[in-house]
Amino acid sequence: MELPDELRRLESELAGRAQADPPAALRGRVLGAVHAELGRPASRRTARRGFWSFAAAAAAAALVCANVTGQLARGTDCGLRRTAVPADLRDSVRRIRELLPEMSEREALRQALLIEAGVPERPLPVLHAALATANPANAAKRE
Amino acid sequence: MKPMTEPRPDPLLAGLAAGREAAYAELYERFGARLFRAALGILGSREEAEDAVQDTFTALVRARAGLSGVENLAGYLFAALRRAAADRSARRRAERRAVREVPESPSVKPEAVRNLRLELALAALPEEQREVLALKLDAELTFEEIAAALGVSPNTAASRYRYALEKLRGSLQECRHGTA
Repeated sequence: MELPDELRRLESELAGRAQADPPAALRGRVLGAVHAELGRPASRRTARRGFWSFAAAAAAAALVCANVTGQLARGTDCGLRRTAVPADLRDSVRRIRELLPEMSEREALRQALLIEAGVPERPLPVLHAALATANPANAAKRE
Repeated sequence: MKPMTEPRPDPLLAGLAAGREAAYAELYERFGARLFRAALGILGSREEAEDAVQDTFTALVRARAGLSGVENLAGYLFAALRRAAADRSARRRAERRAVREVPESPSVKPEAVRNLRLELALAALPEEQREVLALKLDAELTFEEIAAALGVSPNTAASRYRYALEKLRGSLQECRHGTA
């Protein structure tokens, strides 16, 4: 690097200053710190990172689980798809829909299930009567 | 043609990356004194310079997993020292202590007075300029190594150095006129 004479002189003056040497004890102190740092088993930092990794993974798993559960709950038909619905229940659904054509098939199936399970208050009262006359077995079950 | 920075594999780096204490001892033999002088040049305090060197080595141990990929060991090391010194400097500012200590036991010899004046002028430089002078003159790094340590180009490092010298010369002249 080219420097003007004046700066070159200043550089020499700076370079010629008595250089400070580190104290002899510094070597031992530094290497002691290195030894301590190397000997630290899976440093606290790593352990903390491990904990947070676990916490993050657990939170992610909980979120996925909650999401899947929600999806299932929203989309569930209790396994009672058309093909899985027993013949007598399908018959009940058909009758309900004859009585209440505006009711969706899904709701009709739900009502039929409630009646089948003998839940007294929930089904529409009109259906009780209609289905009891149509299917005396159901009426007997409820009693 | 500009010489290329050769990516020579350094067995010392492998030892450092593997966490071998002998490698750290060798690193200290190679760079300890220069690190100390550079830290002293930046921080102006022996005690803090010692702490900064220790912090540098501790930081190196913590980051050892990535050391095998380092191409310019001196640049990397002095960059770590610079961070350690900056941390110390920030802590010191927070503690509102003196910016720079007067060198120990100044004698009354004219040479010592000149040195003291030089030290005071150095202390008055902005940290960025004091840093580049310390890396060049105290740590005896090349401009390539300084560039790697500062994260700038070698040309920038060289011009920063020249600018620092000019600033220092200006301060010394002011000082002479002031005392004349």
